[in-house]
Amino acid sequence: MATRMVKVFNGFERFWHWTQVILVFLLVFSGFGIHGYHQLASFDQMVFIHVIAAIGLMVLWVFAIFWHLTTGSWRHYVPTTNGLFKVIRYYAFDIFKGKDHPYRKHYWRKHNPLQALTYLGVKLFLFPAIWFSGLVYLFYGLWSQGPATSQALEVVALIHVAAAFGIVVFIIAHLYLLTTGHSLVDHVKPMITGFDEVELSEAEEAYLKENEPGKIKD
Amino acid sequence: MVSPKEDALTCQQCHMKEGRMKDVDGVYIPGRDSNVWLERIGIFAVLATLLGVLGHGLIRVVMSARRKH
Repeated sequence: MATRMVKVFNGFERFWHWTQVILVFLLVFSGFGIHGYHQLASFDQMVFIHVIAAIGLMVLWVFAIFWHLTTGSWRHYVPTTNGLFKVIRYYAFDIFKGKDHPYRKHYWRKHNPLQALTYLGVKLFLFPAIWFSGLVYLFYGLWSQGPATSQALEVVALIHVAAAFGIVVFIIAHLYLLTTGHSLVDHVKPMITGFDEVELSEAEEAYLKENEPGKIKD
Repeated sequence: MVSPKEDALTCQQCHMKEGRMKDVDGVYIPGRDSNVWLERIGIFAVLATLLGVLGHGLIRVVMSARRKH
């Protein structure tokens, strides 16, 4: 086992992540505005921003889903209890004692077990809940029967708002976790350069050097 | 008859609490309507998360300062 600087986030992943950051920010801002939490823009402007950003994010996710499936990257998100308890104990106790994070990245496991489980939950439940309710909401004109479907619209809106609160909770925790570990830069840099420290077995290192030049930074 | 343009409405005249449609029941109007318990639980969850991470961060700072002594 040797620790090497390995490209863990390719160009598409980084583009996906940062575009998603911008779009989710616009969606949270305009969405809570539409819902009546602020009047920093007019209602029609916020609806416009919300719809455009939502369509952009869904197009991005069509590519992301395709990428997950075709490259096998979905494997990073398969739930595992292997090391999960250590990570939970780290954030609950050991972090206060100044201990090191127990998880080391592996080539086919670039997220720690708790992180992978959280992202899986976001990808399987939270995001689909907000897209599905959002699409049904957006196309209300297609299925509306006037007052007869008002109750249904209300249910759709409630699911949409509930998922939105869940996403805000995720963002707060996601941003806070950037401050853990050695430095903020350590967490953000891999998502900019693509490279992070990964523990490679000799076979993995030999394979990458032989077949995927540029994956390991010397 | 078509109203003159100075009488045209903006979206938020209806899409707000206490707007022109405030007494109209039986329709869900975005911006006017919400479920009071969903809002309470949502705001509570967001504030609890904020306080949780601030508390967690504070303990980290205090414990780290103590270790240096």
